[in-house]
Amino acid sequence: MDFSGLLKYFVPKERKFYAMFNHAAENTIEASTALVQLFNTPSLDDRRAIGLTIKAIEKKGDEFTNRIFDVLNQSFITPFDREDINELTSTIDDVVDLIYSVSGKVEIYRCTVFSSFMKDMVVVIHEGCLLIKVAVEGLEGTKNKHKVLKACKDINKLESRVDEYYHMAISSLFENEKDPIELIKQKEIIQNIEKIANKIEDVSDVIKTILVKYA
Amino acid sequence: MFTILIVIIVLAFAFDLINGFHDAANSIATVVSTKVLRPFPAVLWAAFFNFLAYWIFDLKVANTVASTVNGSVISLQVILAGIIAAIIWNLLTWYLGIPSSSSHTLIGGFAGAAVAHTGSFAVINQAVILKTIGFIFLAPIIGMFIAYVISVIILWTCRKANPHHANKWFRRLQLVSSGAFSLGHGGSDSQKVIGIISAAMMVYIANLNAKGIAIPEWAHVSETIDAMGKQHLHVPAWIPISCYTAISLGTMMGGWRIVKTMGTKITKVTPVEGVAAETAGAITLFAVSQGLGVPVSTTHTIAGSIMGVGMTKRLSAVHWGVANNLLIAWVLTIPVSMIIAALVYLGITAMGI
Repeated sequence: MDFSGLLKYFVPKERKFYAMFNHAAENTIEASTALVQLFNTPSLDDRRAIGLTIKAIEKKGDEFTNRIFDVLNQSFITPFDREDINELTSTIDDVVDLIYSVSGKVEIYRCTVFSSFMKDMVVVIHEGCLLIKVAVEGLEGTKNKHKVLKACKDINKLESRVDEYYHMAISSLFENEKDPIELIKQKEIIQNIEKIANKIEDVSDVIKTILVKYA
Repeated sequence: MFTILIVIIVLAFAFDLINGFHDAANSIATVVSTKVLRPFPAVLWAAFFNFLAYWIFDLKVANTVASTVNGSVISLQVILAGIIAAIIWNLLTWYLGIPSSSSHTLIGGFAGAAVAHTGSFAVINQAVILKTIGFIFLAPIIGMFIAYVISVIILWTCRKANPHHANKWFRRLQLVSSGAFSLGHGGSDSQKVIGIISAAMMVYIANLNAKGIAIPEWAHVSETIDAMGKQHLHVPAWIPISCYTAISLGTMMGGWRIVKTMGTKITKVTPVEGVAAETAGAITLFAVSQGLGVPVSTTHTIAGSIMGVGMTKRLSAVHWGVANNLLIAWVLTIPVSMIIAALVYLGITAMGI
């Protein structure tokens, strides 16, 4: 044990937060899996069913979030700064909320055309959610710092990939789509998928802040 | 002779004022940044406890400062040079942004002028200088250690507490701990000046005695040695009262400046951390200055204590780079102020003062 470990040895620990963070992170994976399915399901009825699933997942996410805030309000000892726990919890929740918002728009607009760009984007979103889980899991203990940092870096790469897809998707849309209504629908969906990627990057930024502080 | 004495006393008060002015930030930073008190009440609170120190503290530090050099060989010019050097170095470090300790400056200046006066280093009371230098390093470390221990104790005892209730309690407790810290600040810092004035008075008295002139009532400063062989300093009440007044006024003036620049330099701490750091700082100041009679820097003590609190979270809370810079400045203070004082001494004697 080094000096830093010795200093931390005497400080009381609070471990229950990590399990809750993991649940919230797993929830983003569930939501993004369903989102990938949604974009690859041709039948309208099946899509409606998937939409309901995503709605349920979003609700579950809210419950996780509320639970973390409740526990935070009752805990004197926290694994890291209260503001950071707050920030981490809400950004993870936002990821699920944005996924739900995309699935809602698909339903409301009665979208029927899912371009290959959109499909590629949601697959990358799903990969991003898997990385969130890796990073969040690694927060517990001090040994996983490199693993967490690598996951954060990979998330940044994924975000730039989504950006590229986004630009290609928009330019091909304006080039090929001649029906204005269809163009508006698709543009809205593409933009909202891109927002999810940005939010995933926000999660990785919060995690990096925490790492910097507690290294 | 009498004129020089008056000049010394006036400069000593000015030094004390500057000291309070500089250190006001230490005393009020944590209470203000946790929003327990608004800046103005915080400054009044700190000044009040600065002054309260008069009734609480023994003149141990004053005694140590007064005995930095062998009293029988110094003149008023030596003390004057020492205090001018201390003011020069303080203003210089303030201008250059180096956090230096006024206590070390004062001792260094005093010693440097005495060396220039006698032409030999034998005049310096080595025990005092060595003890002081030792505590340049020890005071922040002691503060750091105590703050770490206090934080760990608080975390363990409150681990089941509701954070909102605990926060409310710690906010109240912070009034007590910041008061205690200001008390320690007043007690240890203004005593350095009391020590200097006393030394000047003793020289003045010795001079009057030599001429066979009766000593006026207001100048009765004496040192006695008790049955245990310990030195005690006796001074007329006007000296400590005016010194404590000067440091309190300085704190209030400095506080006003801080009101203006608020929010730029103050470290973010929670009430719990504030209580732990201030209590540790107060304990260190009390123990070292009261227990051992060694002049310590309040700035170093509180800086060390805040680091100690941070160490419960992460070792990187200790800014080793900054600590290194500070250390160099602290170590420089005594030799450089010695040199300045020697030069000032040679200057004023050349002018025939």
